[in-house]
Amino acid sequence: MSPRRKRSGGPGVALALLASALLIFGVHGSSAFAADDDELPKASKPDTSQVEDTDRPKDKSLLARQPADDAVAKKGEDDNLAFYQKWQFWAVTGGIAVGLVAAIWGGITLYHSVNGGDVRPCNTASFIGCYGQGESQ
Amino acid sequence: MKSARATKMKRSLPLMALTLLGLSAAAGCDTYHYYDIDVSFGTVTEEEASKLQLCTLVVSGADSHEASFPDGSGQGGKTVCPIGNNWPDMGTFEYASFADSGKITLTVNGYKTSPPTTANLCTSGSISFSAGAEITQPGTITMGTFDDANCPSSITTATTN
Repeated sequence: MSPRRKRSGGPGVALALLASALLIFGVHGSSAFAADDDELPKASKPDTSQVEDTDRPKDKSLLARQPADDAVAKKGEDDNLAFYQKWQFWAVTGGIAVGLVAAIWGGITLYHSVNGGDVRPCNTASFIGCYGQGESQ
Repeated sequence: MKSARATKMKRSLPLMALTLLGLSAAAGCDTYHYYDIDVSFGTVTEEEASKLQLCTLVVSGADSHEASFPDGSGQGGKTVCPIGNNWPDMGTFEYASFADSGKITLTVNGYKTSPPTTANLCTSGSISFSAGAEITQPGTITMGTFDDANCPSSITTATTN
């Protein structure tokens, strides 16, 4: 009778072992899933480390306003000015005006020179009179 | 666009300068030439010279001009003709001309009355120059023979009883 007992106890032990293994792996697997589940809620929480700009340099001197920034900003302002508010417009206009005056004056002078220029002043102490081209008499 | 315009203007500048020079060359450059002429009475006596009431300058040839010497009525009151104390030398005048080629003749005429005509011409003298590159050419005009027919001396006749 006792060998029968032995035979009937073997499958039971195997089943028990199988059940234990299932339990063990089952719990572990569920805990692994639980761990995965736990990360999602953590991600949904406001995380200050992501709001902060990590690219922002820690060195304050790098954030300080540079002369180049002023130049760029000034250029932007200049681009928005009307043409008559730009110094270049007045520089060019002034240059043209001066050039015109110089050209007219030069032209008159050149024309006068080409036509003999000024007659020699009359030395009234030496001459009884001066006559001819350019003279009043 | 701007650079293209600027380039175009830069290219046209020499052309403008050349045009200006060309116009100047086409117009020709006038240069004054001066003739400083001393007028001497020569053989004309002081008495004869005192009859002159009007003296004129006539330029002919490469240039032409007419003028009268000061008679005291002009600005400054200078008197050349009628003569004052400017005998035997009337004085020196200067004539300016652009003529740079050809022959230029300057003639001084002395008249007894105005207006000047051949009938009241007392004496005359002239000088000719070749107009050239010279700026100043001096010369002397010597008045010619006094024409007593045109300019007779006033004769006072004494009558005796």
